Amino acid sequence: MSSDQLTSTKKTDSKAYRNGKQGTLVDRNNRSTIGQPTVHDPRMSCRNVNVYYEDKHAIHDVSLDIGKNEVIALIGPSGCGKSTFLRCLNRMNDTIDICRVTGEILLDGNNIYDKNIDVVPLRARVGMVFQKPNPFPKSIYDNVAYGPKIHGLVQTRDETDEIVKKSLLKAGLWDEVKDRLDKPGTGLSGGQQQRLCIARTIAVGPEIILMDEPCSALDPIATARIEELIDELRENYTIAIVTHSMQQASRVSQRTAFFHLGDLIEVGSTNQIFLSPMHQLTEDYITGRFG
Amino acid sequence: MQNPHMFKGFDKELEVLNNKISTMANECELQLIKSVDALTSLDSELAKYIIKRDKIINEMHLEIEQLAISMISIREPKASDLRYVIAGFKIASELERVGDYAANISKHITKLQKLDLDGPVDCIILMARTASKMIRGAMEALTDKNAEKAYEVWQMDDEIDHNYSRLLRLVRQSMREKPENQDDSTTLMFMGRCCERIGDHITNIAEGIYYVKTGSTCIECIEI
Repeated sequence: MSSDQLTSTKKTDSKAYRNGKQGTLVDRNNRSTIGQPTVHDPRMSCRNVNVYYEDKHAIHDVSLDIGKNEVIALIGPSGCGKSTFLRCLNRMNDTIDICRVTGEILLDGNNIYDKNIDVVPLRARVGMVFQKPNPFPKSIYDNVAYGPKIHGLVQTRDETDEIVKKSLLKAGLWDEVKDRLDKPGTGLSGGQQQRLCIARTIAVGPEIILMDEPCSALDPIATARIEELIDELRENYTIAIVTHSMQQASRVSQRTAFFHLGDLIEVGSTNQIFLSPMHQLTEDYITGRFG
Repeated sequence: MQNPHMFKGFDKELEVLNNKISTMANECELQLIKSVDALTSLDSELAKYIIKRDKIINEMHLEIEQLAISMISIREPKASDLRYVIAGFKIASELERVGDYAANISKHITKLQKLDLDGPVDCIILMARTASKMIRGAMEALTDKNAEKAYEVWQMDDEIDHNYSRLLRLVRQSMREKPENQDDSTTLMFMGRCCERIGDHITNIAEGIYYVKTGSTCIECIEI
């Protein structure tokens, strides 16, 4: 489906902006997506995505593009489906037996849910960083080297050394660990462990990085370092981040998508969403008037 | 209909901010009305009282600024709440200027020799009345967050501009016909200029209120 077709379907409401000129927000009962779910140059395109956990319909017909080299923040109250949606993007939901996904998620024009798609290389292309840092019980070096080795990206020790150094540099961790690469990754601080996990993700050369509340277990200083890193990584990667922190979403992202009870309610530039949202539910949520 | 904020204290602060702005606006309107009263009665005592009272408006301005800064730093408001606090900050500055102009009118009352220039004085009275209506309308628009009302207030400035042009015409005519009234004519022209500037500051207030409601700074873009 082209982006033109998409904007003409029921799921978007371009009239909302005209209402916005009078300051009237779209009514809370309107569940159509408003704003700009499509972009000119998408890295990943999701079309009519539905997710079910057995009989529970968790995500309702969500269509959303993720643009090249952008950071998109997925926000919404607990249980709104933002993490479920994120996990669809590299088929992490496949690990849940009762989970069923319908619709299309296109990466380079190919539906990642096609039967012939191998999830192992897919997850190398679409990497993930989780809420709690989860380094392997191995050395710092081996944590980063593990992925390239199993994906066959390196043949020699020199190649491995280079990829480990490059990944740790990109993750902003090299200077802190270069003299103790043989020490366990679990011995690092929380913020360092999370950056090690980011280095591990980067090491296999992903195009997209998914982050599921990557700073929720970190202190403000470690959080600031990760946010700074996200901004630097944007030059080379596309990032989708789920966060509960409105401040974090507004600091790190260029686009923001607001989810509510499984519906994608509003998508727009982060500036527009946080200054002048068009939907009453978005306004309620980001102003702290969600009752 | 707006839901209550999850922190009741924030709603309370918004209410305090709104009340402070309304009180300051009332005070400015009162100062303006009194300055015109002082002009029509050439009451120098009343003029002195108005000049002295401008200090209260300046204090109100500082209080509002401090409250808005504290709300931004502590509450980190977003969307319409952020727009309201930012607009409140701006509106207080505009009102402070309105107060200054009302005091400026009063400062020049003692310079008037006599009041036999009815036409120009009538123009000033009309301009001040319109400005007073604009202040009241703006405060209604702010309390109700009403974009259409803000636009009505914004448009009313045309009346002030019209009367200012009329005043200038009459003053020029008077200067030609009665050169002996030159000093008074100049003073009245200055007072008219004060009223014209007051109108401009109230249009800025109306634009701020429109921004609170719509998130747009383009009040001309309104669709009625």
